[in-house]
Amino acid sequence: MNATTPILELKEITKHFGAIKAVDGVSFSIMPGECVGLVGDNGAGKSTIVKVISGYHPQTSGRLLIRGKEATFASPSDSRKHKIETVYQNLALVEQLGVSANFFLGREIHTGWGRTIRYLDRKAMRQKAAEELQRIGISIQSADATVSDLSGGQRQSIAIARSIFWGSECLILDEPTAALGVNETNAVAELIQRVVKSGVSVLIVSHDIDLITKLCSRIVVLRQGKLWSKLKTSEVSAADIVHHITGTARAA
Amino acid sequence: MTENANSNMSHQRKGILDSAKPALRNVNTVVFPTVLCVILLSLFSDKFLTVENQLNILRSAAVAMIVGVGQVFVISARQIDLSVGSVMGLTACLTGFLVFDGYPLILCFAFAVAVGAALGLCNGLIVGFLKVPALLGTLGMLVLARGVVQEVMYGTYHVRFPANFVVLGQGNTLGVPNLVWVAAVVVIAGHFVLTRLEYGRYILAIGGNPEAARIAGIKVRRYIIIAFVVQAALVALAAFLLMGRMNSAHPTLGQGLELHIIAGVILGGTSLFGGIGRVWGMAIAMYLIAVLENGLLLAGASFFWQQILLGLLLILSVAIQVYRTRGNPAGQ
Repeated sequence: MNATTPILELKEITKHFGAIKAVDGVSFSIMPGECVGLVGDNGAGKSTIVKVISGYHPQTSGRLLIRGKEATFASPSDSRKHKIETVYQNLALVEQLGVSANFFLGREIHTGWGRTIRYLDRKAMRQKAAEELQRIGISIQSADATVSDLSGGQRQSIAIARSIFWGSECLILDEPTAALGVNETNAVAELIQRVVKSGVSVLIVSHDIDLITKLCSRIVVLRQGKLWSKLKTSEVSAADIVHHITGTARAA
Repeated sequence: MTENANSNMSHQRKGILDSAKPALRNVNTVVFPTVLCVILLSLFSDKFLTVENQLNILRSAAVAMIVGVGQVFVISARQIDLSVGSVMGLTACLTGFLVFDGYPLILCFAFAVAVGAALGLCNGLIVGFLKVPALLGTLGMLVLARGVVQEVMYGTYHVRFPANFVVLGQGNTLGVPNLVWVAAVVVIAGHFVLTRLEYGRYILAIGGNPEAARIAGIKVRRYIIIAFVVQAALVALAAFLLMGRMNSAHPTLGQGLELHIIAGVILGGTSLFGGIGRVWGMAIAMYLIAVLENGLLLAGASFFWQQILLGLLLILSVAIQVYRTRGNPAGQ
């Protein structure tokens, strides 16, 4: 793969739910280390696209190319195997468990002698989670802290950090700041910037146009399940983007 | 009283409740009432704190502790098993036939566990595959299993088992009832599995956020089915020991056991809403219930008072839990 090969490419993706066409022939791509925004009004098909990319719903037709090679995702684990991680709006964290337990959920470390009975190496997981959080500049009281005791911003950061830790090369963020206040939104935006700078490709699905213009170099606009326009952030204003989402403006 | 004064009082009350919240969250709420009950009952009766009486209390709590371990896993996974009492009755009565036919004890034991596990598997499949809510699915099994055992026994019951079988439930080892030894092993093993093994963590994750568990690649349905199977297998183990202790097996064995077990599990700190499991808390709560029953007995109260007490404990434990989880879904 070279720098001109997209890390993720959607070609004519269509998804039907019975008679309903949720997504109709959508094509776009994300380059390595690029941050792309996916916007659209409610019912535009954004969530369906995210679910197709993350392996939750296989597409009805169309092709998914990962680093130039066609891939078929039958489940979320297939998507993860291709180093695509999705951070969902509900964050997919277990509030009753600690930070390190969430960090390693489904991919636990076991002690050498306890592999057969799946004995958890809690110390190693705690240590690694703390190191990773420190490395990407996330401050929390302790890797033992229960998720329910953390703020919305901290939870979002942990969900993102977890994806990065697992070697994600393409991160899909579904409404990353929907439930956050101003300060927390800024902190998460800074974290996303650091992630993009580290070479990870990011697709942000959001209604927050300010966030999209601040972080993304390109924007894909969907309308009623169809690709409406592809924009370069440097060439449009926030008002233009809103006009593309709701009005009649259109760009190729 | 004026409206203002009323509002001030409710404000003050809210303040007191808020300040008590962290303490309530951090202390396992069953420890304090247990200690209090033990102190109070020891003041009322000289016999209460004797080794003999304490071993009696532990012996009567042992069966509930064994069954309770399984229920901690089931409830932690955001499920519930109402069929434990009927599964106990059916398992005991069917196993009774084998015991009387002279089969080796180990074979009888394996049979009992296999019957229990099979009934648990049915519960698991009903909940996991048919997507019937656990409350209704296991309620169906409660009625079904009780009906089957009544039909099989047809008004009869097993009594006076061979001595080598009875000793399992009535005998002592190193001065401690065998039942208590078995309960101790099951409780320690349950705590170990829930807190130290991947299986326990997955159960808590499934109970806390099933969607997150699924996204993390955990086979949610499989783990829920296993929880039901383990629960019923532990019920069978408890039934096997109880048959020996009572030297009989009735078709009504275990009737009403489900409420006793659920009360103990919830009182012990396991969250009815899933995600939090407390095996030690459950064991202490079962001891507390047995202490109260014993205390009422020593005080000469009728059996019905035990039921009244159990009902009150169940309501109280759920109310405490709802209060603890208010504004804090993790309930910590």
